[in-house]
Amino acid sequence: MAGFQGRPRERDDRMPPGQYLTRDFPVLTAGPTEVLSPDEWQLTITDGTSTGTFDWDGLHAFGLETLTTDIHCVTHWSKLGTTWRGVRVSTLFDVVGVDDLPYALVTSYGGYTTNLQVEDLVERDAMIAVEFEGEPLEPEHGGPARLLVPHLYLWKSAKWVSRIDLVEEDTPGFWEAAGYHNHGDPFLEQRYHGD
Amino acid sequence: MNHYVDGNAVLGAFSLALGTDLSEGSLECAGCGSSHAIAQTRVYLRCPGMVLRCPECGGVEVVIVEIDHRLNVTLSGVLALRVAPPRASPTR
Amino acid sequence: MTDGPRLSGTRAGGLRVAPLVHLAWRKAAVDLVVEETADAHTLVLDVAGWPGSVAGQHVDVRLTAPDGYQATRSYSLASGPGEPPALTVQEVPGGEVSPYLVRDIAVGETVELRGPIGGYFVWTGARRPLLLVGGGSGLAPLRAMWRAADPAEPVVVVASVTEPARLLYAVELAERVAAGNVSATVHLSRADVPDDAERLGTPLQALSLRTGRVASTTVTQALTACGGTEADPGVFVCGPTTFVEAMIHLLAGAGLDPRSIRAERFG
Repeated sequence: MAGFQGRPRERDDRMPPGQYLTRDFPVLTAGPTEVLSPDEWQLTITDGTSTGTFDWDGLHAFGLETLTTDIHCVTHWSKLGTTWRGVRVSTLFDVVGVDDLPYALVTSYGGYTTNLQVEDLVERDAMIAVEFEGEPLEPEHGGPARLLVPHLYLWKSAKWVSRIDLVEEDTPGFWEAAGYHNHGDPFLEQRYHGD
Repeated sequence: MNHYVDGNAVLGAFSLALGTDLSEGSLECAGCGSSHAIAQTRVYLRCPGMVLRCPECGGVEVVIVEIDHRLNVTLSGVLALRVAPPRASPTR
Repeated sequence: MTDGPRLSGTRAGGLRVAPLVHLAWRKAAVDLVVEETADAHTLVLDVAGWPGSVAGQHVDVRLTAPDGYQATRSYSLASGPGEPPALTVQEVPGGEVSPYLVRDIAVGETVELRGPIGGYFVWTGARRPLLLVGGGSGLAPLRAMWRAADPAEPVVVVASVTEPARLLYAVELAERVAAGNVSATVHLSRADVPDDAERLGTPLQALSLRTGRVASTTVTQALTACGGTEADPGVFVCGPTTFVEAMIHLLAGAGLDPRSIRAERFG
């Protein structure tokens, strides 16, 4: 009698500490799935002075870039070698001409929020993603468009992204206010406030 | 598409966190003002915590996160928490 | 915020709050396994100092893997008041916990349990008729309720299952129907009622079988059998979220105030 084992928890050297490999793509959500058609979706980026709004066509006008990356959820699963297509956040910031402010508060359709440092949005691979593995992004996974910040735990990659406010002062988002880490680097295992 | 269960599922954890039995407890939603049993809230468990939403307006009332075997509770969407059941007819 | 479980009565600002002894994790040993259907088993548990339960309450069950990984799930108690705690677990294909509890766990092995929990979806056995509507494994807490019911009051059960072989507690339901105060209608949402009812076996012959999802006529008849809204029946609905929403809609259409319906959705 083997006793309870839970799901097989496979390990891989590319994975951050405390993570297990998964082959499916678990759907995590703190509320109802937002179902938006591409026509209804738009993204506003503002620093309070300069403001830009991108609709579906406006976003696609920049051309989609392909990114293959690993993703890590704070609930301990990781998925390796996922392929996404989207537009780099830094491209959109440049177009809007936002000021050099230190923090960003990201808001989703449905009211979810998460906070990031602007450098995490512009200096690495962060994108507004619209395709996953060659298909339009499903609503359960944040489609039509989500933020993807692959070097941080996935709660930072807000689904159904609608707004990015660049601000002078950091404000905790939904999970950050509930006790999760402000930065959320999986390789430093920054899961909870104080880690 | 809406992966919620009823508030009963979190009564154990919520009661432990607040140190009193909330089995017959009720919440008054800060968003819409409605009162309802904790058991009637819509609870999302497939996420990094437990999220209790108002059955009337869908707003977030309570978020419970277990951190190193401690329970962190935020009551940001709650106007009042009563340990007793709500009054007979909930206000809308 | 808290420093973890408080296990005894405590004072907060002079206010006396209820002790939470029953919410500490306790060892529960499997005493008996009852195969209800091919993929649903009832585990009767032996818990030292079990305080008893009210019909409709649930418990949290925690499993720990050898590497420390833990999984916690809530299960309704299918046992009546005064009985040892019993959980009916329906295997969810691809699930993490239910396949273990249905396929692997054996008599004598232990899980951790806390509870009983709940004061909303409960029936204390008041002298009123009872209308119980269950979808699939949603019958589990309803079994606790019909066991707790006043034998002098009507108990009307409406069950929905995909096919006859998936009906929980068929024998017990049939026995209660034969004994008098319980009536039961079983809808087969993905199967026709066989022409040759003999093939169904003895228990199912005693139940009223109908083809298709639960219909408004069934709900209206069930309410009438309880004495109508004026009899102020206790109304409990338990099942998957979509089933519960559909049933509340039908019950409201039959004249019940939706706020008088106690519902338990399990996802």
